[in-house]
Amino acid sequence: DVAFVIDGWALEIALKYYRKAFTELAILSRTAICCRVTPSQKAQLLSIVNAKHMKAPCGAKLIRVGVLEILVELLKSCDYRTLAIGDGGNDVRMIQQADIGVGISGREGLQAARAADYSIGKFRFLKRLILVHGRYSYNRTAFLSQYSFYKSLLICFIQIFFSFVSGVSGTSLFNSVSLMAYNVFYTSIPVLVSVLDKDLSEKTVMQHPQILYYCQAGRLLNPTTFAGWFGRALFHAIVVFVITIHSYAFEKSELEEVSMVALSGCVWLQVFVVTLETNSFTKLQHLAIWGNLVVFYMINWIVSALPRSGMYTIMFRLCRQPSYWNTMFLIVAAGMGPVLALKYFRYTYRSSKINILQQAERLGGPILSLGNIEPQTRALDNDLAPLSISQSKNGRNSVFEPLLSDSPNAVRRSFGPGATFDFFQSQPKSSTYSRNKDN
Amino acid sequence: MDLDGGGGAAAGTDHQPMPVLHGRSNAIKQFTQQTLPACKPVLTPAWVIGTFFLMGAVFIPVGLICLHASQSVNEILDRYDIECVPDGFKSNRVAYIKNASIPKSCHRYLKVDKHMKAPIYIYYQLDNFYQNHRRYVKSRSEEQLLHGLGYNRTGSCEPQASENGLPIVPCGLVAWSLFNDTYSFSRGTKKLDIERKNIAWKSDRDHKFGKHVYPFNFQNGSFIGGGKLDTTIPLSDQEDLIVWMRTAAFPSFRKLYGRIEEDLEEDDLIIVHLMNNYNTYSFGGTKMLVLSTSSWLGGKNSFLGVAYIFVGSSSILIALIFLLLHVKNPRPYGDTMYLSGNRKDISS
Repeated sequence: DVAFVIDGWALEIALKYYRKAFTELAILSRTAICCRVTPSQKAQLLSIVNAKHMKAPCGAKLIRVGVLEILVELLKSCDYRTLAIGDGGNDVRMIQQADIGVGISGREGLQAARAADYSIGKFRFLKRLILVHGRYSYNRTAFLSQYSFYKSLLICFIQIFFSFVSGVSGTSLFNSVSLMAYNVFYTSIPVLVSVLDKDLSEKTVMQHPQILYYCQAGRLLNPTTFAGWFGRALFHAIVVFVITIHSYAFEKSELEEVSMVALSGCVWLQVFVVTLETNSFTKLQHLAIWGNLVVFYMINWIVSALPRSGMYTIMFRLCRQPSYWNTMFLIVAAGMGPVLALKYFRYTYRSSKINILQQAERLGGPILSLGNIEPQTRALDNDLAPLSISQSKNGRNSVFEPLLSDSPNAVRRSFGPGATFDFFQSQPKSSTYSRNKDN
Repeated sequence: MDLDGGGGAAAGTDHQPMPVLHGRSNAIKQFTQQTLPACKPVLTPAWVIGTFFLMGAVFIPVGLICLHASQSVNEILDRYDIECVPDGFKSNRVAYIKNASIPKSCHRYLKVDKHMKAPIYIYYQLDNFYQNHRRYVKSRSEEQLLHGLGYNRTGSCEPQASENGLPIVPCGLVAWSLFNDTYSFSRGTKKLDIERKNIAWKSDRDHKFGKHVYPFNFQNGSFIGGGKLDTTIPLSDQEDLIVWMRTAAFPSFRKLYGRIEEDLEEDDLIIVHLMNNYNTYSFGGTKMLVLSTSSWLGGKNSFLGVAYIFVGSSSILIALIFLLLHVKNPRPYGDTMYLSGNRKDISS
């Protein structure tokens, strides 16, 4: 896997003297950074890739003018995830073309920033955008989507199991008020605040940027992880159902009460599942998670006080029964015990890289960085200090002045000379998700 | 958006100290910049092993208490639906039950094993009776139970909504299939008084069944599903009907028939005079009579006790396994030497 950086002047030479080699390079590169190309060069590059004797390996269709748009299109057609960053009006098309468009607002106006998916103030913030915010966003999205499936699967499985004891006739164990409120009130609030969840602190992430690879290529959201959540939903449904039908058998078996016991069991399990999956607890998260349980009981007490509802007095009756609370604690213990044991086992004895960093971070000591980088890289901010405002002095006229004056040093330092390519080599070209075993 | 970078990244470029904000604007800034103070719990071996031991230490005694409570309940069960069929009809029970001219009375003898303290609850238990079947559960009209003939939108009660053009009160299959076996008890020669009032939920008597609603045109059709109702008693006082209409969740259930307010001594012989009216023979159901005391946990159900003991001992087992693993195979905790990048450098 190769990357190349080229500016207009070098591109001119490459197209003139080393056209064939350059074309091969362009097509086979994983990452390409080009800047300051003139319109005539754009046309030349267009003609290269369109040439009949040189087929792009993935059959790209090139219908636009502009070098960078061509490159982005080419890479996208080869199933690469492309990110384009620019700050001027001429970058707008490229930004819109790429999967992720980042616009820099400032020196050349706000056009690029308006057209972009994300806009930042300076180029160097790109690192923070990808490494910190992009990574958190991926973690949170993976959790949220799988958790939503889990909580719905839980209810569905219980309904399926109930159908086996109700003559497979399709009786719903839960009444319609409970089902509606389940998705809206009882289980949505804790995950709304999971948007604040951080598995690693920003400082740790900036010091170990290679951790980004453990959030790529579907590592956190793939059929294996989904199967894990599916299995958890099935297990919890079995636990809730079996415990409910046995503790509320014979003289206690009344449909409304059993329904409410099963639903309470589900909600209690949700609360603890979210607690276990949350990595950092702010006050808001505590409020949302435990407050959610309180809201559940409040809503059910209110509905149980309406004489016209099917649930009239059900919740009051249940809360006065010791067997209800016994059943709740049993459900939580039987459901969460194995989950906690499994999580602890994987966290301690089959740690993923993220877990190792988490442990190191929480121990509080100095985090040893990579072996072949001097410890001074920990203070990354100091490195970026001198590279600040000198850009404004250089005008746009000069073709040869690189836009990204601070990029070479920062990029090299933050990814580390040797370690980056270790990770590259272990990954095949087409990103799949089967790399979890590398963890 | 992030014009200055949150947190520490901007500290390099801007050497002025950040202005200190107080109160609400500080809290809002912390929220939007995601710098809210957070506590990050760690799954250290000490905490996890401690949690499992604690769980075991709490659950096993609770399980023992629940088991003791369940064992302290005394229960007499008697399945009578097979025995009460007279000899000539043992092979054709359905014909027996449907024939109204055959007397359905039956005598059963129950021996009391242990002293039973009042109140003793009398239940009838039905098996293989799916009161939770969807068509059955829907086949009732809550409004009609409250308002009687004044309410005429009883489409949900079909096919038991009207008979011969006249509406049925109470309509629906649930009411139509009312259980109508009766029991009376005597100890020796003396009859035992059974309390038949207050067996239904108070909330049902007061708010779900009308005080001025009387049965009308009930069980007049060609298919008799269960018992008949006294048309002079309003629905709110028909406690058997109210108990029956509280649909059960599982195919095997018990419903309260009455209470005996006296103690039963050990070795008492209880004679039950029952009327075996109800047809459970057509669908392979069973009928049982249950006399039971109750504890703070309810009836005789050892599941909770056993389950608690099982969970408690499993968690102690897991705690011991983890303790063993931790002692024998201590993983250096948080050693970044285990990051693969570092491992490669170490080995090379």
